[in-house]
Amino acid sequence: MANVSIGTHPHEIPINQLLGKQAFQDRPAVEPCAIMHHLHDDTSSSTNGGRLTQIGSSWEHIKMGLVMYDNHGAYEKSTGQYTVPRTGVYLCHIGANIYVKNVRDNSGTVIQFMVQLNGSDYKRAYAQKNFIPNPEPTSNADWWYADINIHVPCRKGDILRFISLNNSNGGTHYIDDDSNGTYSEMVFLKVS
Amino acid sequence: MATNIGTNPQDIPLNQYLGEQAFLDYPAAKPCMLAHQINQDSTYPGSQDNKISSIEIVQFGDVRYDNYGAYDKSTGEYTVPMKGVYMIHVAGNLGIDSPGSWIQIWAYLNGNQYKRAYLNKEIQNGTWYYSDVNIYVPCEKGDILTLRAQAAGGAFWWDDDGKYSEKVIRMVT
Repeated sequence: MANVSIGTHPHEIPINQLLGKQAFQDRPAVEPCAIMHHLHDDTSSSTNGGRLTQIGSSWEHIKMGLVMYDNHGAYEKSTGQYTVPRTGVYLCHIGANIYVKNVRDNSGTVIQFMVQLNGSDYKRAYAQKNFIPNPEPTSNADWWYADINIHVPCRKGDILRFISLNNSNGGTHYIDDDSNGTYSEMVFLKVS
Repeated sequence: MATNIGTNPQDIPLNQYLGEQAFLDYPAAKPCMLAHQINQDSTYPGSQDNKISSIEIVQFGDVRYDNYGAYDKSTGEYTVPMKGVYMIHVAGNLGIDSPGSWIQIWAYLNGNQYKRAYLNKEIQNGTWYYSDVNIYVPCEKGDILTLRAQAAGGAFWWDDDGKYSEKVIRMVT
């Protein structure tokens, strides 16, 4: 970008030198955003980071290891935590194909996701009978595509993360993964 | 904020030329409101306290963010503070003890129907159903947006301990 000055010699003022380019960009700075995908078999944590095991009756942290975008370096793939870089409202999103194993009953709340703010529960998203055909299936495996969107007002430095558990009797689920990460995404995005 | 460069008589009032925006480090936060459904009406008046059957405005009373003060929780109306495209979003756990044939979730613009979302067969075999609805509405400043809902032949409610159900109206561009 060319220098922008106000006035003419000898009162010329090199505004960019004084204020930096940002002040004169036509477009606003991009908002903080991180996009992660889930990779198959990332036991080789040097490349992918914390692969999820099957999620059962205790809460598990959602960790997706393939970072597609993270303009503030705010996501830590070993923990699944996003450290909020600027105060505002953040969208926490999961779009994922979920493998549901040994869930035979179609009563009760089966799959639970939760966004935690600084380690405390903030908001849930549920799957109950969404993915179970009626009448109940005879096989022990099913698939459900989850699209979860939760908004959280945050201060700079707050920590966001997703957790999940399976509340059925003996059932488990996990987030689908292939070698290219095309099945499942997790996003943290500042929206206001 | 007054920012000047130079001294009299070469004083240049830059803000008058450029506006304050030019000197913010970051873009201004876009208009956004966020409210949760809470079951304590005395603490959070405005939360839905009845089951929805015929069409009505959905009011979540625990307002957690409203950076333009544009949301009136007593009416559920959001008065658009700035021209743009707005998203109306509601994500929550629906209690359905008498499922009818469908549920409609509406975006209304200035009191008129704009766009509806449906829940159909997915509500038929359960007493609870989690749904996530997103509708986009182009608006002028001063327009009034409301989230409304109705159920055909049944009734439902959004679950309400403050961690189940959220309503968001926000500018996206």
